[in-house]
Amino acid sequence: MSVVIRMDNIHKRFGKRPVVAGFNLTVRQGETLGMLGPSGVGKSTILRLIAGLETPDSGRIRVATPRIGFVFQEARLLPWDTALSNVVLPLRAMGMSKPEALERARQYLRRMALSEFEDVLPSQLSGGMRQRVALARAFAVAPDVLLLDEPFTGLDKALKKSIRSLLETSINECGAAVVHVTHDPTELLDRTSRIVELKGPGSEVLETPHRVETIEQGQEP
Amino acid sequence: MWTRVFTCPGSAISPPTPSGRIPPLAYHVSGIVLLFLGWELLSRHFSGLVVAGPAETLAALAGLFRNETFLARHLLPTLERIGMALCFGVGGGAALGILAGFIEPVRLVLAPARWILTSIPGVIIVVVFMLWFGMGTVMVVCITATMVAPIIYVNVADGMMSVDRNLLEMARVYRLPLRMRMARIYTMALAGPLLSGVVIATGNGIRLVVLAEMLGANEGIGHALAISRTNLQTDELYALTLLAMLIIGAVEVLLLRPARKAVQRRRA
Repeated sequence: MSVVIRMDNIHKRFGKRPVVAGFNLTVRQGETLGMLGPSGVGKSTILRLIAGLETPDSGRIRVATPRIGFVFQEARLLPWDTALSNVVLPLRAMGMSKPEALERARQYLRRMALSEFEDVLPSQLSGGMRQRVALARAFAVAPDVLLLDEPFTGLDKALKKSIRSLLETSINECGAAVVHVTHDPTELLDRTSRIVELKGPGSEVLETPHRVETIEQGQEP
Repeated sequence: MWTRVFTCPGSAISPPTPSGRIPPLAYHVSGIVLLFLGWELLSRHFSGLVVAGPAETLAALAGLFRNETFLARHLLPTLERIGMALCFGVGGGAALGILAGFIEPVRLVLAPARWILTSIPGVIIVVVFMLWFGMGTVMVVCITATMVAPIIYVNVADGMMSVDRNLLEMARVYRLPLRMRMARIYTMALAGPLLSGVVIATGNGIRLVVLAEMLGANEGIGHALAISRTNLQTDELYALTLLAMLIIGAVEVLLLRPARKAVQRRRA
């Protein structure tokens, strides 16, 4: 399996506070990596570095694809656009024709059981529905890398279960490499093949039994 | 003895809700009727040379609308100037506001100019611009556009700063091109503050056009006002004032309010 994400000796500070120090990570195609750790330990920063939303102070990040899907803690939908338009938007940015983008967006909204709500504004949808629209948007771009930043935050137990099941099915179908950040081990997806547990910048990574392969974490220079 | 009293701030501040059966328009109409009543009482108390009554004013206004020379020589040039000044002022202010929102140094460089333009009294600008541009349309349009632009600039620049960073991040992740980000995120986010600015700028702009025309133009509503004052045609003077108010009201009711409602609906 080819490597789709490679992070070498990454350092990142916010002000004087080191958030990521000497972090190394390799993620292969089709792999699902769970990243565990308490709040403020740098999990989300690592996802944001992979997505290009942050630049490292030092080190090198290589992501082998421009097709990235990102499911944030909040849905991050354009409030003035319908559910359908929100899913169409990145497809149009990819250069897809309007009819093609509409068809594809409808297909993914259908998968998320949102066909009846495609013309509805985000403000008229429930929290769970909004998150499902965000999932439809992320999967519609046929991502090679899918980044999940605590996607179940704020959802009740039943919603969590349904969205988790939608996620598992969709990931199985698209075969993307997944990096799933969460503070709660019970939220990890069933298909998780490796778990990285972060304790803090420059601290040792706790390798979780039977699923951890290799992970290196350097020391604060 | 109570040591602490909790009050509900919402209930203390909110005005009493109007009765569900009376539409808000009825309150507006009663406000207008009250103003007219007060005006009528004043006009009965003072001489017609000081306060023209509502009936005389409305008759003079009707006369103005029937007068083709007035329409061609005064109303049309004023409307043209208002249109041009608002286009330049709103366009220039919005363009600079967008630039300032994107590029911090631009905002810092423009800050002193913005401060000067918003703190100098309008009449001083009128006098200075009369010296620079002479009398006529160029002077009136330049003055108004110069005074309107900072209002729009401030609203747009502040709007740019408050665009939801989360949405911009989403746009980066999904590689939305700048054209798409401008159209789908910035424009929608700026529509609210921009329209609020335009509402204020329109009122100020029309007032400034009339003021500038009064002081330095040979045609326009402002010039007609100056002539009416000189000739002590109080009813016509009041009619011209009412006409200026009607222009502001028409722009707000016919253009700005629908646009604002459309934006609010989309942003809901």
